[in-house]
Amino acid sequence: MDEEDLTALMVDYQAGALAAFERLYARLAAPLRQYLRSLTLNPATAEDLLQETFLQIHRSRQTYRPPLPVEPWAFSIARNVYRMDRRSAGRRRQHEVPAEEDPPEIPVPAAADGLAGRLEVRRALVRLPSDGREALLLHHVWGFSFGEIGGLLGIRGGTAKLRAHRALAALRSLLGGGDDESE
Amino acid sequence: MRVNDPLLDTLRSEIARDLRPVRPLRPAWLRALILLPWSLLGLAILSAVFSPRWGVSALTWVVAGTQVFVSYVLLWMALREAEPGRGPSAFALGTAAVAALGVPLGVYLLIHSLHARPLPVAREWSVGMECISVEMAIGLPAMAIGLWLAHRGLPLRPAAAGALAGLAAGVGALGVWTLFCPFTSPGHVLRSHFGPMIVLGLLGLGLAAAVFHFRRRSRERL
Repeated sequence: MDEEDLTALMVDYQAGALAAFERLYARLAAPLRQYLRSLTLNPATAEDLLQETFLQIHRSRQTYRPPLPVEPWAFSIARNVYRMDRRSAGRRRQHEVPAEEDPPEIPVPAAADGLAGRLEVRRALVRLPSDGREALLLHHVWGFSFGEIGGLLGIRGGTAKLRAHRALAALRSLLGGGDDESE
Repeated sequence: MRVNDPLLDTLRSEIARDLRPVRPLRPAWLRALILLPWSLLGLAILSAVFSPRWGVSALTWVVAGTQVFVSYVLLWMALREAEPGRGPSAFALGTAAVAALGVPLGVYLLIHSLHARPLPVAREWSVGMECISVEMAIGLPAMAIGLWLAHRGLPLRPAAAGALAGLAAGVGALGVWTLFCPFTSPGHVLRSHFGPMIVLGLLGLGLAAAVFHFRRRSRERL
């Protein structure tokens, strides 16, 4: 399903079609779940936040303006849900898990795929600073442009690029693959 | 096509309860244009109450227009902040806050250096209070409108959106009032013209943060 289909689904959803929401869910649930896992490093928490994300998407569906891309909008809402949860539950529970424990199922960027086994790459990803990891995954896994990442994270596109670049270099370094400049 | 997913089943029942059609928000630049009719209305009301200085120099008109334009840009940024995935960068927010204070200050210094008109000491209190009252009277409703527009969206940094909406109202009020208050004494300008602007910015910040906090709390209780 391409971006135009997603936009058409959002338009139908805004017009009140439940079927459009179901198709949107089918398209967005997997990447949003992965994204929330990469933020929380906790699958159970990510699942809770995924539900809250879709509810927030529903409450804020008027804030989507066609024909803008749907995914940056949806990811931004997911990120906000995560931030709010972290703020309100920060003292109640700890999202971060120790790096050396079994890492959660977070996606592995293709740029790091050949450097080590998937488990090793995941362990290394967990050890990266969270802001760098986020920019790296948004660009290399979900294919967002740096401008879109900037809008999503509230930073400049150049800063997003720098974060992703540094995170990839750190990942390569952690995996013993050197610190080359190619991306 | 029906997807079998327990989470989807839960969401489906929640969402089906409120599936009324919604109209997408208009672009932030378009919604921020509300400041222009508000500025004109403020100008008309003030002209009816006070003696307008229609014969002011072209520079004063340029200054007033510049301030209203800065105000528009600030409100546009506040409304962009409420569009998920399209928020301005922290750098842009900081630049806007600096411009909100720096541009009016710069143009006042320019006017003061070209056409200085000191405020007589005997009238400092009465004129100062008049300027503060009028700017707050124009600025408060404009701030309320800006906050309402921002909260129709989803401000991801509500305090920043509120501060920008408050500053937008303050700079806009300052721009309109520039056409009425002839005095350029730095003390008067800082206290009675910039004071209300800063108060409106802080008020916007506090109100937006409080509304957001209240909304979140009430949602958590559900």
